[in-house]
Amino acid sequence: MIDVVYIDDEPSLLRVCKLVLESLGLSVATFEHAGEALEFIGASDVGVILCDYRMPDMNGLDVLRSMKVRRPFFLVSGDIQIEELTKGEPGLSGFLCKPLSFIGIAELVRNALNEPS
Amino acid sequence: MLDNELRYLVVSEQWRRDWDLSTQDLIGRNHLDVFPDLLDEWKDAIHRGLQGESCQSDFDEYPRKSGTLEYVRWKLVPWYDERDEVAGIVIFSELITEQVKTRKQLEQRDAHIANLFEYSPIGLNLCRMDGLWIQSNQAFLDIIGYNAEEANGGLTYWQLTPRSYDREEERQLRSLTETGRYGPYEKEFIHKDGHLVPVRLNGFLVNRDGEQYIWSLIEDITEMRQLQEALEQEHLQAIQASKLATLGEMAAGVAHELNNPLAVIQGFSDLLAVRNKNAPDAVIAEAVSSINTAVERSAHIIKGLLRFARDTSQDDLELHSATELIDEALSLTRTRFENHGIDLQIEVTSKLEMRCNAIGFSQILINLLQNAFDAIRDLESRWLRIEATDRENSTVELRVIDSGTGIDRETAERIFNPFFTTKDVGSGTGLGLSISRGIIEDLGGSLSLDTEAANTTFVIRMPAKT
Repeated sequence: MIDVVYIDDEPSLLRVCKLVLESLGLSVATFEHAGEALEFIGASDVGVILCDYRMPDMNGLDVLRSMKVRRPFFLVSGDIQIEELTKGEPGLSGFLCKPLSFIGIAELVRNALNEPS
Repeated sequence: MLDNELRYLVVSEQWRRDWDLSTQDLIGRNHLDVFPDLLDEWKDAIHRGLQGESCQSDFDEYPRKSGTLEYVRWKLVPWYDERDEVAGIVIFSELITEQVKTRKQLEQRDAHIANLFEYSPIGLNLCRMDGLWIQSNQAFLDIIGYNAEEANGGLTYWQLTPRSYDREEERQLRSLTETGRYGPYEKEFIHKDGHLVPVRLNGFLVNRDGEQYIWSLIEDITEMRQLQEALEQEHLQAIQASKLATLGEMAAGVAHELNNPLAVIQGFSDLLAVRNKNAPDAVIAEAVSSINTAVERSAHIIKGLLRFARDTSQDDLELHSATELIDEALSLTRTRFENHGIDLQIEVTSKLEMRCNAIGFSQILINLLQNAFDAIRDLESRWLRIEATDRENSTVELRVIDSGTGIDRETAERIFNPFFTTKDVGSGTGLGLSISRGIIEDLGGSLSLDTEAANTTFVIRMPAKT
């Protein structure tokens, strides 16, 4: 099982996320393209999904709506208006505002993993 | 010439022509038969003439039987025979109907012109070449607030003209001497109570008894100006709203772009912190904490920018704490003030709350802070104070005071006008204060300049409750 799937069009962010979360003992898979991520999520056992909102091919909400399985799903964005925009979306577990504290995220992921889904 | 039986003896050609008797043979006929409609007083005069008395009249109305009205000047004298007895009378008559009619027409026209002059809604005024007022109608007197006695012969054009128009006046005067006309020319007159009245002038030179005078037509354009300004204000607010919308989109893009690199920095700082856990290094711990603080501050600024750029006109009014609103506005400007050694003093007397939309309000506060910054950055003494106090009628008063020595009267009068700016070309739009005032008034508050204060002081009043 993979604890965290992180989707973002910013490669250096994917890289640092993987480094921090892995050194905190979490397994991480990162994707630059939402399509590949969706394929992966469909085929694997995934704990928590973190997904950037604003991406070139599809936005974070599209990714959530395209998922066939229900997993804890967090939107990530630098734009606080997105939080208001997406409030109440079915299946959305929460909103994380960039710049993120990955230490905080690790905690969030552990809590989500421990909750019976 | 008649004998004492009033029979015609001699008659002049002029008489025949005047009385339309050319074709008749008058000699020997009785005067009363020739003029059966003779006035009673004339019959009386004839009677007295036969008694030896002379009579005359300069102006008699003579309604003829035919319905026409003639005006007559006449003289009647007796004539005597060799025995010195009255032998008859001589009547001289002059038909003055045409003259009288002309005079009456002139009188009527004069009255007409006098009425036009007095009741014209446009100010009319005659003045000497040195500017002394000779004649003013009521509309003009209303514009300047003086009565006819004070104005005519007592006031000059120059006494009521602000000095700022000197150069334009020269130009108009030159036009007057070169072409005989001046205007249309927009200027202001100083009203008796001191306020300035915007007017539009037109005028021309006239010659009266060899001396030159100026006739001027003066329109009060206060209302037109107000209407124009209101329209301009509306237009500007629409522009500002669309500018803010554009800026908002841009800011959202920029925020997105900046937040990603910031997230990377934060991420590596987190990594450092994790790696530093087992064998802690104090320097690395300090680096992590400094990076975190810097990232946090940057993120805060970006959020402020995003919020500032949003179109807030549709936002609901809510109660906000004055301290928070001031902090919010300062988050974007504090560093600039500190970097220029400007001392910031915030004095909020108690836990104040005001009803507004937070972002619209901080836009205005930031604009005021920015103005203050521009005004005092090069001064010897540099400080800025924001005071918030409770006022009567559920009003919160916010005073933004800077170390500047105030704004001169002339500038103060125009400072809220659209496009008015004292800044260098290109550095200010002249829109800030006029739009700020518009926004504040939309929020149910007011924005003004305290001209009595020793230092430059802007005053915002906002409702505390509705």
